[in-house]
Amino acid sequence: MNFFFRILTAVYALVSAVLSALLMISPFAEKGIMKSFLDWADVTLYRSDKYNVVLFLAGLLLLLLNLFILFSGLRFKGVNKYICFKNDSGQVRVSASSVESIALGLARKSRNVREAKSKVRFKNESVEILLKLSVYPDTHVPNLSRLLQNQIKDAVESMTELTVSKVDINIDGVHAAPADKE
Amino acid sequence: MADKGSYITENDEMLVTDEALAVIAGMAAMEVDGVAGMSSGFTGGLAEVLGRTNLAKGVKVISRSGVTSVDIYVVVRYGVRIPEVAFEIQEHVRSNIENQAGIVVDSVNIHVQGVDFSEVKEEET
Repeated sequence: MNFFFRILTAVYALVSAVLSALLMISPFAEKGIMKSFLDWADVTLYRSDKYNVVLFLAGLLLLLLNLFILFSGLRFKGVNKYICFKNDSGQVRVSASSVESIALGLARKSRNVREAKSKVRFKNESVEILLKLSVYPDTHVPNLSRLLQNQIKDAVESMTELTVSKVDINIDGVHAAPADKE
Repeated sequence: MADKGSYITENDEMLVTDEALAVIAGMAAMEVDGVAGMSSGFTGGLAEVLGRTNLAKGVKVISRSGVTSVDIYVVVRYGVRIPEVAFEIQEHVRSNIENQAGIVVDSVNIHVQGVDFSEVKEEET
């Protein structure tokens, strides 16, 4: 999905670059190369029937591309930013960023973690947490991740009373910066 | 008649602005155990930079035709049970507004915007 999307945006950028270049040149189109190009286009393209079809298809393709990009943008924004409980007095909304900060806070307490980033998604009534870490060299990664996974799961479940379906940990890097040893 | 910020008591009209209600709600919310602070949105943060301390920070009061709802944006302390704290805030805000302004609040919505770790770290290291 991501790769496909990148290709689409690249195509889109290319097409709009060509179009904008044409737009820029068009005031000077009366003379020189542009003029001869336009004459050629006029004779060979505009007057043939096939050209209409090609033009229509190209326009359609661009329109679809535009719509796709537009709607995918909307969809990405619309991912659940909070989870909602209701009780008699109103609603309680827990934002994804607050769950993220639970995970981050726990991760940063560890001596082995240099940097941490977190992303949270709410699916139905459960929470999925992704934690990206960069660690110091002398870290036993399996132990660290097991510890953090358990801690985060317990903390989030006890605080929000939601179920944590998974805690994924990505080790993004090992940083050679010396950990302070005293 | 009863437009934004005006409420009618039995005989006369009493006006309580939404801002005043917001201050009452904000102070009530801060009193609840487990609340680390109020989370001001973008505009609130701007006002604070400009040097205005805002008692109604993180509170939005919407009243339309006599129905009042309060939105509260809070940061909670690490380790608390969010549903319980939220319920306490709701009750406290509701009763404070009813006692001080005599206005029945229709709904109190809590938005938990963050979790505060600053006190935990001192304990464990």
